[in-house]
Amino acid sequence: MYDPEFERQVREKMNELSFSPSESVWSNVQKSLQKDKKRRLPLGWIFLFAGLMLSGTYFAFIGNSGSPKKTAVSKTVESPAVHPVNAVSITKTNNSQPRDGSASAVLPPTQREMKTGDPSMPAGSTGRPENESGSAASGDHRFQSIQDNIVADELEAAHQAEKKSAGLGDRDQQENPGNAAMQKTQPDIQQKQAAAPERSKTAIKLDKQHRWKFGFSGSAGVSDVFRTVTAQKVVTSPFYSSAIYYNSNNTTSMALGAAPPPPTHSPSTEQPGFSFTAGGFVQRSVTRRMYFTLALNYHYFSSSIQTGSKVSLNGLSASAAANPSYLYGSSFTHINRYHFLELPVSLGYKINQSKKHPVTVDAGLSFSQLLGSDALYYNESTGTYTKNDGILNKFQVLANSALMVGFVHQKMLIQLGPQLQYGLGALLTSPSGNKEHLFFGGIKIVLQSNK
Amino acid sequence: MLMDDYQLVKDCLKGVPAAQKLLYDSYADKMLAICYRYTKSMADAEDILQEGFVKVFRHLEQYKFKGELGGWIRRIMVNSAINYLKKNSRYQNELSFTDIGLHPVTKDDPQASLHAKELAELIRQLPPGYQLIFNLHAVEGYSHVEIGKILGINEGTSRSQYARARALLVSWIRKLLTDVKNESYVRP
Repeated sequence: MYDPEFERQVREKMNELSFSPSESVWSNVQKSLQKDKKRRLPLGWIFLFAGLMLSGTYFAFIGNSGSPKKTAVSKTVESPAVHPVNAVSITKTNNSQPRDGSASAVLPPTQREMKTGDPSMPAGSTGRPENESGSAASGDHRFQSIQDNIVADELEAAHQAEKKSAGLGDRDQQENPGNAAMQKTQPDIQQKQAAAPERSKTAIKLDKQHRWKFGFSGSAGVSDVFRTVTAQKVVTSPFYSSAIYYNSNNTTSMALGAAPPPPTHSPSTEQPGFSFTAGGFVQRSVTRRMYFTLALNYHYFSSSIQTGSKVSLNGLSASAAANPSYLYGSSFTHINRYHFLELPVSLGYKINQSKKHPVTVDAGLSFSQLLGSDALYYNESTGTYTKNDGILNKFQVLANSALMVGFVHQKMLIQLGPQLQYGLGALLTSPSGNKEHLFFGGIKIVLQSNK
Repeated sequence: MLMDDYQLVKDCLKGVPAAQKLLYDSYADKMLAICYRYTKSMADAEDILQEGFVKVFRHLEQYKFKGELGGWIRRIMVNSAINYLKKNSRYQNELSFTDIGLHPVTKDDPQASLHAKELAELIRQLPPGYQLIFNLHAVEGYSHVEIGKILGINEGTSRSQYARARALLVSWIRKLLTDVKNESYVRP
């Protein structure tokens, strides 16, 4: 009868064994722990930044949803007939007079105890343990307890690495003749090893973690322009148009007739408009959970304002004719469009480790160049809107953040989630010092190969 | 769970360097012996020990004070050793868990009357695959079902590999004991 005395003695002897590690081991452990502390800081900033962006959006869109956005305008809306176009002579003068209305802008197995009582050794010629069923059942239970802790992900890594090693066992025969001799007695060894390439796929996966990946991304949502107030005026609307702007440099005489009285009304409030992005990106893992993304996108922003009728072109210069003016009013809706080429750079963090449904948070900066715009700008001295994108700051830096959930579909990883962008630099600055910033909020979608 | 260990873990979780050093000093020697059994050199064993202790401190919050702290650390070391063997090119090529069918386990139970270090040296001279499974089953006490799950192999493969490892080790011990004058541990 088989007696597991040998195993018991081996365990006892192995428990007696101890060695003193060299000093370098502890110093290296300490270094690793210190690195961990340093790594936590930028990660905290990413979450802080994403949180700020989300809360800013909440207050901008939801927290102020009850404020009368058009109050300032509706008080003084005048009919276009008040300024008969043909009789009007409007002279745009240099005037640093601040606008009357200003925005109240809102930014957006146990140690096993050596198992002396549970030898679970093979018995008889079959090699099966006497307590096979009990051992297996308790083994499952113990295995579960092993996985309760960090061991779970280690086991997964071990499992993958084992698969890799399974295909590379030929050296065993060369360096271990005894082992090789025993293996030769088994005719199916080679067949088993022939199936090994399938196992080695996991090894390739590990390498791919550190390769550049590419994919396509797009988003759609709403854009708007937020105004930070540094001046003295208060306006009830949180949304103030970047397009409604006093143009202090334009001195073009536009038409005939007597100068109108200085307008006393506030410009039209701006309404959010449709916006979308489309482009491609490359991505690379920085650590097991963090990754770096560089993208190139086209970004379309828009917003709408209310204007009066178009100013007559009679007697105007060619340049003035090319940039028509619109009177103050609310009879027409004009869509201000902005076309940007942007280069977003971001760091992402995988919140979970699921491969089927990864949840990630991204944060970074987007360097954008204005390609063109047909936005109208408000001249308070004349009470008209004109096109003049020359006064815009064409280079913009926007802060990005996105929270995305992924799912795998036909070897493609598709990620979907909310995205926010906010312009850190001013799109334009009014003479009174008020700055207007781009904002985008929408749903982002990312497509990349999951191979 | 000793009260000392409880306080030690709490202090480590707070990041107290003295507590971390104390925990390390308390378990490093024993854990190095475990790592040593799985490797072919002391340098590799120290690498595993280092990697294992980094994991211990990183995931110490997952220790729920159920069971011995030493047992929890030991499991981490064993898993670190397994990962190390599979990632390290010196070992991974020799870790071949081919299903070679059931092999009758020898009924011989020679007195393992060697010193602990001598026995450890013999275990370390087993082929890496045999060495790993022998350590997991005979020393750590994992069942073949568990070993199969851990290594991603069949239970039968683990069983047969163990049987061969055991037979090999027993034959070496016998040879060593009968040839007392010759203290060489050269692999047969």
